[in-house]
Amino acid sequence: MRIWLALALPLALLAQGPANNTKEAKGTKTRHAKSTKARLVKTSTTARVADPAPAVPAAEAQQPGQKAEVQPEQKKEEKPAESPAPVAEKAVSGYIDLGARWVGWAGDRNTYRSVVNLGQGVRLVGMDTAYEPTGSKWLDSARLQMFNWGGDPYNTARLDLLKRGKYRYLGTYSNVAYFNNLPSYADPTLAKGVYFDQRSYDSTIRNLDNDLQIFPGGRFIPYFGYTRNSGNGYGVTPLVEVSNEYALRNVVDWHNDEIRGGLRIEMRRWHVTIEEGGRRLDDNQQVYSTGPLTGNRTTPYLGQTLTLTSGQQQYRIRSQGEYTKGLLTANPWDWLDLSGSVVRTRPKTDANLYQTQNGTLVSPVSSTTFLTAQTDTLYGNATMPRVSWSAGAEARAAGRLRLRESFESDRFHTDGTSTLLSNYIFKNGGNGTSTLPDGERLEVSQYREQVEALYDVLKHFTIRGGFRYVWGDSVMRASSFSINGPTDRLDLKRYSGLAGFSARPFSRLSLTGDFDITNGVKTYYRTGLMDTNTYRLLGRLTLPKNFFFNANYLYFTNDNPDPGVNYHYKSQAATGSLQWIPNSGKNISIVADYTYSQIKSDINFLNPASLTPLASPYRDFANTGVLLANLRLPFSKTYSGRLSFGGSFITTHGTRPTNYFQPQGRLQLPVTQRLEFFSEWRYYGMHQELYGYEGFRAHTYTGGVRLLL
Amino acid sequence: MGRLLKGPAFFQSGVRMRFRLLLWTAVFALAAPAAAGPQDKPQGKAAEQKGPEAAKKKEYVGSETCAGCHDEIYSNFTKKNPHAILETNKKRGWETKACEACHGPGSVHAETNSADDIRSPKNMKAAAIDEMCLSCHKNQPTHVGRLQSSHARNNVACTQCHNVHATGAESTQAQYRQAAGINKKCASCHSDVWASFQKPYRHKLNEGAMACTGCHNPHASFLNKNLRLTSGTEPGCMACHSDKRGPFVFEHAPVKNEPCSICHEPHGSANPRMLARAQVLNLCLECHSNIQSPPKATTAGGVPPAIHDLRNPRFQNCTICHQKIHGSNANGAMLR
Repeated sequence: MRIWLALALPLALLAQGPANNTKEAKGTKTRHAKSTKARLVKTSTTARVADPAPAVPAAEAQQPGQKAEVQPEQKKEEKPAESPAPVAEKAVSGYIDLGARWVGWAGDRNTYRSVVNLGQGVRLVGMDTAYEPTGSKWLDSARLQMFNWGGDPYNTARLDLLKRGKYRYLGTYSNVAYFNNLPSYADPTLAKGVYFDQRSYDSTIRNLDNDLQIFPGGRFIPYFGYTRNSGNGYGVTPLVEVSNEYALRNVVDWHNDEIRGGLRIEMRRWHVTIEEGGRRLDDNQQVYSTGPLTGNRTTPYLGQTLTLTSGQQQYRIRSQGEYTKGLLTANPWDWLDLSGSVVRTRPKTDANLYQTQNGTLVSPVSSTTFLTAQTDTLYGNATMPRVSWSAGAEARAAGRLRLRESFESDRFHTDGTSTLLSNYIFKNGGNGTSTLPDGERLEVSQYREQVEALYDVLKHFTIRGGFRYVWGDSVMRASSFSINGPTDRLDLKRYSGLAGFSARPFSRLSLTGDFDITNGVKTYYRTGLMDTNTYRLLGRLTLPKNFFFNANYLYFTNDNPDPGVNYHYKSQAATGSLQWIPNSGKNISIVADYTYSQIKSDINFLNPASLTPLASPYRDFANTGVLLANLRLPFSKTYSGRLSFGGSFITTHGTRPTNYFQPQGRLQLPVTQRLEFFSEWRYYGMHQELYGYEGFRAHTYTGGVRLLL
Repeated sequence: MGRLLKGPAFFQSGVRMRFRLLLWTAVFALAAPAAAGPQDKPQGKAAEQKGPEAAKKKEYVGSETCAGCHDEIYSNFTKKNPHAILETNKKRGWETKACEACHGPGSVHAETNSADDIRSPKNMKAAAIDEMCLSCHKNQPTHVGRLQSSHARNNVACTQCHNVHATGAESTQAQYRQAAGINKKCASCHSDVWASFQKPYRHKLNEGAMACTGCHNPHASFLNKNLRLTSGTEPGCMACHSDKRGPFVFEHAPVKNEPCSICHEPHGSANPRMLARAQVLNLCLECHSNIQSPPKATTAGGVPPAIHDLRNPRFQNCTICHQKIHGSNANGAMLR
């Protein structure tokens, strides 16, 4: 019913009379034709800049046959009297979309919010405006874009100020809600997932980025930037005690501020950028209980029922670091390109943790001792000096041959220490304290060298081949789950053969192939990259009548044949894409994609309790379709609207079968020259066969007006 | 190829087939020059001036002459196109000759009106197009690392993403000002990646809240997949997830020495936490399955203590207890 209501709403507005947009278009075209002639006479640049003629394909402006006949001498004979008076450029342009949304949903509300989360009410659906004053000393253009404001789970804004040759300011803002009530683990055999919402979030992540360049386009370009990334909100997270864990309320509150400044020197033969920046993270997490809890443990521990009557945890993390970055590009001779970068950072973290818990608890010092209260105070700090650099070169010594070489180095280590002071009140009376110093060190060195030759066999046929060597080592304390376990040194070593081609056998067809065959000798982790094959083929065919056809195939395997690992991973994706955009999509445009993809992963793992091997197969076979069609609706000779429809579907089978459908439709009808009505319907439907509770279906209807400036 | 270099192991593996492929590619590359046709003439201003006899005849005629026939393009170009600065700026050397900055001297073309007499990207090889555009744009910070980028290696020309002449809503500038416009362009080639974004749990690209370029730099990068860096050396993921950057007193080593994608499907997943497996326990235990430590074991990741009884769902949801899985400042087992 609401679909019809939403689609019918514009009809009432049509009674106000049709917009004379076609006439306007005709008028514009005539005016443009006249201005074209006029411009042949007037040769001053000023006159051209002042002309407001809209973009019309060259084929419309001039017939191919006429091209050769028009000579400059003939043009001068045109009568200047036919030239229209120059019309001033519009200072303000763009559009503003205002609307209201209705949402109807069924199924699991929390899953709907975790996936879609669109709400009801009045919205600033979109806004893209530009102010371009003529003759302003300080501003050539100011552009403001805002999308999905007024309560939507994601909203963005962008402000772009420009005065050519003087400055450019670009500010962007995004606010993305992170509502997630679903677990990374849920038992599919139960009606409801076990520990369903013990790690849930109702928070937002915001990004504010500001960038100011002075003298853009010049040789010396100083620039400054400020970025803020923050997360705020609430959630649920467990307070983990010995032999039991309790789900408590969680306050998410962190923000990271970064400032940077630098100088770019852009000369004809070389460029250097020197940047200095610093950041600071303030993370103030809190966890607190709102009442007594029995926790996740379902059985008594040594005859006692473990409970938490009250608990609180306060984290205070301060992390900061400065960095210095240098970038270089140069082509000292026409046949040689060089580029390189050096980055040095030294971030450090200071953390304080204060935690209290009361109830029936197990002592972390002795697993047979019970406590009524425990207080923990922790101080920790960590540093991570890091130096990364890279260099690359391309030589074009011979006409057909290009040689490329690059080298990268990334070295860092983290040094962390902590001291934990604990006070206990034993259940059988008495107090106790303990001090636990701890810490960890992680060292990482990674390098990569790549040599590649590209050879132009024919004008439109290039082949390439090369070699890549990746190596490194890490010292970590990760092999043992024991906190005081020994450190281990692991190596990384991979040799890759690279090949590829790009061809355009005829002007309408282009083909690209990219092949990477790697034999790994050592890797850090069982599922890390080892023996990999990557084949990628891309074909693009341009057919007559503005048809475009793309085909894409990707094949990737990763195998670790080590008897203790025996890992086999394979993924494939094949895509066909069709585009039909005649006449730049003025009357109709259709874009359709279909993708079939599959992932197969096989590896065994050990059951920790019995140390017996268990299989871990993962399968994901997906069919995905995307369609977007846009049609002009010519209701009469003088009045037309636009209809868009399409959407996407994905249906997978395998380890976690999922169906997700997102069809949509949009109707746009002009009311006056500066006012359009739009009505939009979207459907979201999700179903997971093994996780029936993670399913929902929702209709959203948005109706509104577009104000054209 | 590591084994390939070791000798006998090479012949026992499936590498032989791949080696043949590479070998034939190399043979073809060496043999091809004999059959090769004429190549594109060198591009760029210097090349035009020093070029063969035919090129010497060509002279610059100025944009006014071009506008005589291509009035539409020229009109739009001077109004809204950022390259219009070439037309008026004396420092760049193309004053009143902006068209010819890219298309080369147009005197012969102006006389013959033949498309064969003017440099047109439609007829040029990708490397020549890049050379044309990069003759001005090469020495800019966004191109540091260009040589390793997959676009440069696969001959993706600048004009495949940038439409130099289009203006208004059709212009590259206007389209790339919105996330949706960027995503549409990237998806036109990377349609398999775009298919991943149709999964229910994903980054918000379909909604227009994020763009592909938020994480990837299409021009250049020293990282795999053209990933961006943030705060100097951190992968682009940390631009939005600063709280997971660290450094932590107790690091989860893969967070630091492997890409995030070792655990996560950044484009889209059927798992609510965008994990690379359906359940978190598979993801964790596939690595944490070594009884012995290196050097006896070839990889890191010890098996958890025996209290982790997987028959109990409580122990199947690893991150319920090991909640600071990206790194902890308080506990080596990442319990808080």
